[in-house]
Amino acid sequence: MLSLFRQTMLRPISAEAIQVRGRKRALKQTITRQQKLERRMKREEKEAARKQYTFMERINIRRMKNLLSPSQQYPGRLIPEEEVNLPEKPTLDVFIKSHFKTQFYSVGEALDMHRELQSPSIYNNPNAPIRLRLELNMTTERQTKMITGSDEIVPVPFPFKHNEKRSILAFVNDAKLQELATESGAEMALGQDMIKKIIKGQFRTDDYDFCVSHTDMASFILPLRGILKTRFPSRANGGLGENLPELIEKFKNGVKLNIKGDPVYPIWGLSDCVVGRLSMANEEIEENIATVIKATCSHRNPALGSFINRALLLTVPGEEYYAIDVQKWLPIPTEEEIEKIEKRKNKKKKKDEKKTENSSEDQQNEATA
Amino acid sequence: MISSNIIRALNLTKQSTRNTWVLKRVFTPESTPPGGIQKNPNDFHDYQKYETVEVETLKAAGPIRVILLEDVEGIGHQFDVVNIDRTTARKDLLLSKKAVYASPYDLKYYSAMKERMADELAARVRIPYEFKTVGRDLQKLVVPIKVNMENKWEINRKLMKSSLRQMGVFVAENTIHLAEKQITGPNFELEAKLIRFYLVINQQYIVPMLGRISHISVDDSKQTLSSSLTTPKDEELLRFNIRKEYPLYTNSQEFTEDFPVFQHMRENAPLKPQ
Repeated sequence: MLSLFRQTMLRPISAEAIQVRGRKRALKQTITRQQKLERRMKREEKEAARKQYTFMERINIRRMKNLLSPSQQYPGRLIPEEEVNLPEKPTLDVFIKSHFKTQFYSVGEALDMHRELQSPSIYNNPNAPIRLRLELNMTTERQTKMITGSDEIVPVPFPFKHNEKRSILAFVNDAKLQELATESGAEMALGQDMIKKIIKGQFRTDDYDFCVSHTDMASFILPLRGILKTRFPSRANGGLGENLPELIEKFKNGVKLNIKGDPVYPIWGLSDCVVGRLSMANEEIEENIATVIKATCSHRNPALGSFINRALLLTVPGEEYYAIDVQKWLPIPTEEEIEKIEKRKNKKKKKDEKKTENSSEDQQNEATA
Repeated sequence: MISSNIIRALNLTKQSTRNTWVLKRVFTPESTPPGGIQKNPNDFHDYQKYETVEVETLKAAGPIRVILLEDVEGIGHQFDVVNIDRTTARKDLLLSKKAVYASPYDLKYYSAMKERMADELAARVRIPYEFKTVGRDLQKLVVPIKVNMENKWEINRKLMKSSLRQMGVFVAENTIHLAEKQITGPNFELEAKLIRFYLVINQQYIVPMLGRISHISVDDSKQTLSSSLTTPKDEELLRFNIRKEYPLYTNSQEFTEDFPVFQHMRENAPLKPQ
């Protein structure tokens, strides 16, 4: 009994008295340097998080959080972490989609499945337009900056009838060529004199989908770079050349590529475009998709990882979607691009080191004082 | 007060708990040179500082090994020795005597029993768990068979394949078995009619399925109202002359593409869930 008493009652825990009142010395106690440093780090972190978006952006994000983001709306976005536990490949000849990880098909397979569904005995739309929906990762080298949305027309190797109106602006000096440009389908042909007006804002270019330019105007349109942004004609996007009718034709038949950031989750993005029709040959559609993907991927440094999270093939109208494998079309990062990212990382590391050095110096100074 | 404390203390001492802490010195004292006098390690405060390497309580205890006493779905067959999650084992298997701990005695005892029952175990028909889960999910479906309102159609394997795909079921064409009597249209008397067809998984497992014909059109003004896609009641099945059936399994892969599945199921289909 005595030993038990010793075991229970004489243990320090049972002898512990709760101090209700007493000296509040602890309250006056100064905080240690360690604590100070921690607090400062926390505060800085908070400030950085606040600075990430502007005031209006923050309000918008809060407002949009209540809605379903466009990326989450049907057919949704692929989040690889959500299907980690599912098996990779089906083993049986009958399988249910939700029991396995997302299956990626080749363009040919996906098109064949769509064709079956659009055959005369079911939906009867064998010439349905094919929609390519790209789910994008919008992060850039800089943590606070996302890839900006853009609108452009991508000329594709196999044009098709898209039944969309395209308004194209042509820049050309020669009056004769101006006439030719409007005849061959440009909405309007502008000369050197209009450029100042555009800069001043007297002539709005917002309504035009794309611009083409004759080489004789190449030096004059340079000030418009900031206004036209992605629509600015250059050798790189093919908008600058000698033969205007051909250029205009190319862009009239091109694919309208629209990259949009997600308003709720800024690191996500979406891009929707029509890349062909079901009646076209598989190879033709494949080529078109390859060009569109190449144009899309040029918006972001490939060294950051894949810009495209998942590519889906749909028909218009139609709810069926099949994920397609686009691995082979993704650009391979060049050494230059990788270097760029690494340089940034190193810089950041150095900065951090400097910061810690400074703080340690501060401590030393304090100590000596 | 004292007595309850005592009881608690006694219980605590009886039951083993996982509360081992592994610590490491922050500052290691210098080793005493041979022949020297060892310093008291408590002389310096620094020598009394430790950092945690591991807390046993925070680590998951991991699975336990049990011997199954009967076939348990998704886990294993009778007399299998399996590693299984602690919670499931304790809350389900061990309590309901579906399994016992893999103690040295029991391992020996049940392996002997397994040898004795070898013939009986081999003769038992065991449906693979994978088949069962797929079959169960498939049976819940009523596949809407969308057919065009204006164009001629007939229900064939290809059409069924794309109808199934719209419900998220991907099949090979040769796994679908349809009734011999052709169904063609457009025929609005067939609208919302239930039809029976069979899916054969791996040429081994026949799953009876239900489809419902629904006429569609791209033109919005011509849409028909189809009845809901929920599982039909028994009366409804009776109205369409469909018997309630359950999946059928064989050990050998005998249900090939040309196998008369309809005839076979008419005679052998299980009418109760297995």
